[in-house]
Amino acid sequence: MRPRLRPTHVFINCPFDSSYKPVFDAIVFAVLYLGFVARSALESDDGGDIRIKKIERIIEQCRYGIHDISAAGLDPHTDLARFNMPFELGLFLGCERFGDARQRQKSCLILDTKPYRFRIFISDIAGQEVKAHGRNPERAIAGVRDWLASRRKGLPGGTSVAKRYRKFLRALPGLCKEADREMDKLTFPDFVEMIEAWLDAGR
Amino acid sequence: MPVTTHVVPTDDGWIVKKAGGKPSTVFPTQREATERARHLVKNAKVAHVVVHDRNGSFHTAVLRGLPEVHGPAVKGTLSKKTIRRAVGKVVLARLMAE
Repeated sequence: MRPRLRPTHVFINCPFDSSYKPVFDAIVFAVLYLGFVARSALESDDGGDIRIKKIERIIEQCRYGIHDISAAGLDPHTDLARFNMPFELGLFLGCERFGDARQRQKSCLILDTKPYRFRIFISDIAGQEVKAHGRNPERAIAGVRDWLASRRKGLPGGTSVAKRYRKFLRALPGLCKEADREMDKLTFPDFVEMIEAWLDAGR
Repeated sequence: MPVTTHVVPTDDGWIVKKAGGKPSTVFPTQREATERARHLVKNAKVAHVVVHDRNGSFHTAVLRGLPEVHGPAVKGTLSKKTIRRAVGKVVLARLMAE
């Protein structure tokens, strides 16, 4: 049986390197705070799962996609371009274009560091919704919030999401200590669970 | 401005408190304190009442005008119970210190 499209699931297609983590974490928080389900290729480390199959399954299930192409430049160690994010963006757009009626409900937001930079290296995405975050977590939150708010009414404002995120970051070391887990060892599902519990406990 | 109204256990009973706000009088039971909290928010368009237990866990009694938050699509390495207890303890400690 094929997985069904889930109307609140958001595929977050972003770099996983440590320098990007503050932006990634902020996007995950915003998605959850606004009442959506955050999905990522990081959500399962099942050794039996072929990576592309896992990504295909997540993409197929997600109505929404956030694709950050800011790290699509050359890898400083190999001098080769990083294709994963644009590749997964292409899969998502392909689903939206060629999928069945449900898949055609898909919608995506593309993030980059600077406005219009994408025209230099991936001009074919012109016409998609592209926002610049400058690697600033709060700008990423604002971009994600405004995009989701254009699809669902009554969502909290970007400022209140960012304010709440700052509070969560201050609380996070204490939460990890209490849960007996080092902050940098939190898995993606644990991080999501922690945000959910923290927002359930107070807003 | 904090939205959430908390029902909190004390040595003498149960109180109702918002972050940065004064605690209510002490109620003998959690149920009575929860009723008081529900009454306080009954006309609010946006409301969130959280009831804390003595063991560190908590649950939502009222959620109005706010998005429901969803957990992970797959299980993590920590149990949901462990995380919620940790969060409950930290939130309660911070609330009572304010």
